[in-house]
Amino acid sequence: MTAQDIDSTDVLERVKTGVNAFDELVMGGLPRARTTVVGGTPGSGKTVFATQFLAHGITMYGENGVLVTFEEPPRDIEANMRGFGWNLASWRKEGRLAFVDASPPANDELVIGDFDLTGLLARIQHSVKTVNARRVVLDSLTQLFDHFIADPKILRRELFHISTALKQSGLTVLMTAERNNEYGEITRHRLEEFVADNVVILRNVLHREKRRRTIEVLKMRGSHHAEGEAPFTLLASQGVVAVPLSSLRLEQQSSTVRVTSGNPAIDEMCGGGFFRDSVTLVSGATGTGKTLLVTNFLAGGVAAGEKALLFGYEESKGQLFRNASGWGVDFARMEAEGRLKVICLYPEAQSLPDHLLMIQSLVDEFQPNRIAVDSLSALERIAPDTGFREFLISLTSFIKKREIAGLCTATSKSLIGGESASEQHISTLTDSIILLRYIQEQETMHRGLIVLKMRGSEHAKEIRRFSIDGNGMHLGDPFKEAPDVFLGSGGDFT
Amino acid sequence: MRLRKHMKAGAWKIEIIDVLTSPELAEKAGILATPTLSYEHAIRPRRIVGDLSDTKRVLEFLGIMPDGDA
Repeated sequence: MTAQDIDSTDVLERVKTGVNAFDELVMGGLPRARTTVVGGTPGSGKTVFATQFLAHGITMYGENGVLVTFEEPPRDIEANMRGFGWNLASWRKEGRLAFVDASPPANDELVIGDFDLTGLLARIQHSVKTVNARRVVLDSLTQLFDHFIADPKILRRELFHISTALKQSGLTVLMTAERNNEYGEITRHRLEEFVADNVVILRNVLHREKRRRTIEVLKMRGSHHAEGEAPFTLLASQGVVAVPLSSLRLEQQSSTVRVTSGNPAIDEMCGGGFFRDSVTLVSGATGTGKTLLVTNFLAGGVAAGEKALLFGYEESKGQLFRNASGWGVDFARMEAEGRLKVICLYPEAQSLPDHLLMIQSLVDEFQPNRIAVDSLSALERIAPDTGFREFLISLTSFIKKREIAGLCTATSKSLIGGESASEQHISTLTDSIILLRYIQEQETMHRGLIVLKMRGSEHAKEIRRFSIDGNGMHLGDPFKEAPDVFLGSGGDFT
Repeated sequence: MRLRKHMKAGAWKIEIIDVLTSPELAEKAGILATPTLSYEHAIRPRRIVGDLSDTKRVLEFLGIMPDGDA
């Protein structure tokens, strides 16, 4: 492809990075024959992202690459990237990847007056020719600036020249640059103004003692892109994995197939059961029977020949199994038969995006028909507000897309009623809401169950009292005098 | 080549490499900027990048006495 061909193309051809959710943010990939600057603070994942761009080019799209390294020598990079499953050394030997080693020289150097970077450009072009490369990465420009610290003007001019020359050869160029702050000037030395058609920012923000990694497309010359920060995580053997917020498109199918809640009386209240691809929220104070409802939900599915998956973030597997047997449900047997899988984990064990990716990969592996998360409130503990909302959006959309029935629990802060913080986020994202409440009637405390919302279906409006014994949950008569189930909430629940 | 007349004849070997025609040599030597004068000293190799017209400064940095050995 010649430079003229590229110039005459109206629609920019896209080069897939192979980071799936990221390619969606930039409408399919980075524009071909353009320069993208990836900015980020130290440790934000720039080198991994840049290397992944080359690695996926080689393994998935048949595009060879050149890696120009200004910081670490090639041998170190090869060793560091092996953990992500990328065997740079073997690609180098196969002639699919070439290094230009521009790491700092050991000997003394004196810079006087004007100079140019023809040496560097000639080396890059030589390597490009040797492996017939389509992708070039320069990592990181900041190191180059530090090398020629006294002459930023000359460097800007020379980088512009290099960027232009590479683009004219039809190469898609990715350059990394360091940032001083997570929010502030785009890159140190303001490189992006001189070389970048596109700017991508990687962030690694410390918020409430937790790291939150995000990726943002700041600028994309001549094309649309998604705006705002999207969460991502760095995974061993995969590299950068952006977490898709695909539910923003609301494109899930809606099914009218009903599945059992595991309790015939609740099925009846819901107009025949939960919808198959819906997410139900069970909210209630501690001890109202949320975990019991989860247990029934899983057991009901298994009894109907389905496979069920449970993520427990509050109790250990032993506790959950003991609870279940106390209500006449044999989790151990179900698991031995391969109908049930129970995963118990401290919420603090990993970040929220990692939790989400773990749930997604286990769903892909186990292929369940229903999934329960007990509880969202425990997960909320570990994440700042925006992170939790993104998690919920991603989780609910994922569950619906896979056409599996989901049940999540949330713990109310107050014993009498009131809303949990999770409810504020999730109430609009879930299809159905069931409230479990302590309700005082004269001198006695009872438990009450209400189906508050059931999207796309009629449902019972009354508050039913219920009791719990060795056989599980038993629904009784509706309360005669309507108690205020939202007492203590101090506001409307919508 | 101005430098040459300040140095003892025969004691120095100067090789000129064009990075555009021999990029593989530039790669091997790790050259980024041009012009670069590389002094391949066995113990203490040194390099000068840029303007080489100030002969005195160049020779000082390289540790070469005009008309003498280092």
